[in-house]
Amino acid sequence: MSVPEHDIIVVGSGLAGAHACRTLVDAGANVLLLDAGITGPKSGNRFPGLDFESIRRQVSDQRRLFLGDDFEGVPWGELKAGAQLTPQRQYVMRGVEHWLKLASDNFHPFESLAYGGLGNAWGAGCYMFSDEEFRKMGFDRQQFIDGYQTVADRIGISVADDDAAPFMVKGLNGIMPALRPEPRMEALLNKYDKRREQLNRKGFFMGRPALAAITEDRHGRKAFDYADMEFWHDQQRSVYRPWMTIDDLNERPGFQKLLGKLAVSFEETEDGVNLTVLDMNNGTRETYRAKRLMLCPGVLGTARLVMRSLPNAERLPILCNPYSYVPMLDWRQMGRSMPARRSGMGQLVMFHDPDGRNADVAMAAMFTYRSLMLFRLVKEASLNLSDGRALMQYLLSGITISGIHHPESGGDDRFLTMESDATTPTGDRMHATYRLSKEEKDRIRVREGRFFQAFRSLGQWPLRKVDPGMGSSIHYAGALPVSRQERPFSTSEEGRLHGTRSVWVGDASSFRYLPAKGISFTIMANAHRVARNLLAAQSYI
Amino acid sequence: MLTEKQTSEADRLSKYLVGSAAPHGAQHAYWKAVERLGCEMDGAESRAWERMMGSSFLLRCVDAGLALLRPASLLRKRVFIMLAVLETEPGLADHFLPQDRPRFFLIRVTLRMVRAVSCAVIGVCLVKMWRLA
Repeated sequence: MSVPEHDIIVVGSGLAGAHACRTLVDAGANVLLLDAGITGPKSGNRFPGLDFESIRRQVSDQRRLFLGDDFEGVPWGELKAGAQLTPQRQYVMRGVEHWLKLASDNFHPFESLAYGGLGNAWGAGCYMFSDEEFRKMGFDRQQFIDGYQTVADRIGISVADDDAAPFMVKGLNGIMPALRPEPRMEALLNKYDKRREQLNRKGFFMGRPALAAITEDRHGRKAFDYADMEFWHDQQRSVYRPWMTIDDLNERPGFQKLLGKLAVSFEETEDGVNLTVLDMNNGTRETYRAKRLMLCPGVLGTARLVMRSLPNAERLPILCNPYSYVPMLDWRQMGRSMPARRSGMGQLVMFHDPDGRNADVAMAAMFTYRSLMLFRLVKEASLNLSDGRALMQYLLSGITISGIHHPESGGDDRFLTMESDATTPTGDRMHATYRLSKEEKDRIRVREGRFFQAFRSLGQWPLRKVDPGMGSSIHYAGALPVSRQERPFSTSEEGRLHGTRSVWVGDASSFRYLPAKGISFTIMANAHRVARNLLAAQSYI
Repeated sequence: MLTEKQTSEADRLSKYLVGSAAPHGAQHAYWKAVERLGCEMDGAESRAWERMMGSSFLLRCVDAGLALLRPASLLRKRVFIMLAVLETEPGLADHFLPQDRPRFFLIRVTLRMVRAVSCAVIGVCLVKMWRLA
């Protein structure tokens, strides 16, 4: 049998795949990255120097920018995950329905085949999990500290030293000052300061978010410019995206990437592993060989690969944060113009830590609204569109949208299966079931009520609660939970897939619990950790 | 080239939404979007649309009724498409960007609300009568 051409194949170019590759290549490994790799415009550089308001008033061909060439930026029907993507970002979900078919009555996840994965539509929030959260996830926090620091150095993080910091990024070096909030959010922070004692007693802590957005020029990236072209605005690489890491690796010896490849299944051999992929251009199947395989296509992608490859894979568990969002109105801020230069990203965060242990924390990310355009907001108001436009124009400067995430431990009614489907390119499709118990729903309702009370005490009046359904938080985990025993369909603490010698899992599949805080920073730290463990466990490099 | 009927529909919608006729580019963009996004109506909807295009009052009321009873209706989708198109007209930016409070701000907001609610009451009756929901 011939010797495998590569030390390690990494599947997936998203947050996990990018940082796994970087760590492996840094250590001198010979790495092949395989990914579907659908591309789009890397950043909104079409009107350099202009901010959102200037473009809206001056640029005659702005329609293509905001509505798209085929009006794909005009959403209709019920809200679902990804519905608010701007035309420039819609490539993030292109091809998913065709290549990654998923059927479900109660779980509607957001997946991506893009080069850089879901990281292209990441809100850039960075959160370190606490000791207690890691314990519930099945890990010791100490294992992740090196990963957090390494990733922070790579991506650049900005944060303020305020009440929210202990729930996000604390104790890391090289952190930059936080993004500037807009004046009315600063006023809200001042109001919080006045009521701090009372709110802290009830378990609420508020501050500015930690973001993977740089506020100082760094490594060829430009500081955030507050042009506010869209929520995901990342002009001149100011907000971190995983494709930046992969692009940087292109010049490095030992690294090769092949795009247009959909990983289908793997099979272990005597001296390594064979990975079967589908060439997305011509539909043929190809096999790539390596000594080791590292799976980083995202939790649902990893679940598909494992269920196709290992025997007796009837069903795998899945975790996803329950999520809702709440438009809120501050009457005093109505009917005011907004600053021309501002950030569309998260303005403030509020954490609810009822017992003060940073163990069972829920989180509300607070956004103001402008560059997603007024028409999207008018559509959600139960008014005629004419009066709706006029009223929303007055209300806009007083509206804050708060996305509330709840922690999730999983349960028997939350699982993934695979079934045959001759109409798909892979001949199968995933089926997902996700049901919360009545007790869980009640617990969430009570907690949301507490958030509403806290918002009202700060002059933010919730208008309605929108529940976009399970899957919409875009945080997934737990398909191959970590286990200290060699159990099938689980991973070792180091990240190896139990029952295999050569297959490692670098995404969030191994987490047994999903904290409410955003998972992206921890996904990257975990990929670095697993890559290091893979290197330490082998002696071939 | 747009037909007179097409131009008239675009203008009617623009006057309803922002109070002035649609700029030339917006008229073409509206019809292109209608074609691309698919707005084929059935018999009852077509008849209702004809009536709405003949009267701004009916347009406002039916739109308001559908917002409550059938927000995903194709009738409303067409109005919504025009709203999106108009928002990307530089000359109409002041109708969409946040503005400082005008004079008599609260009175204006209250009057708008009263009109919106009144139209919704009539609109709900019309939508039911015309079997649109």
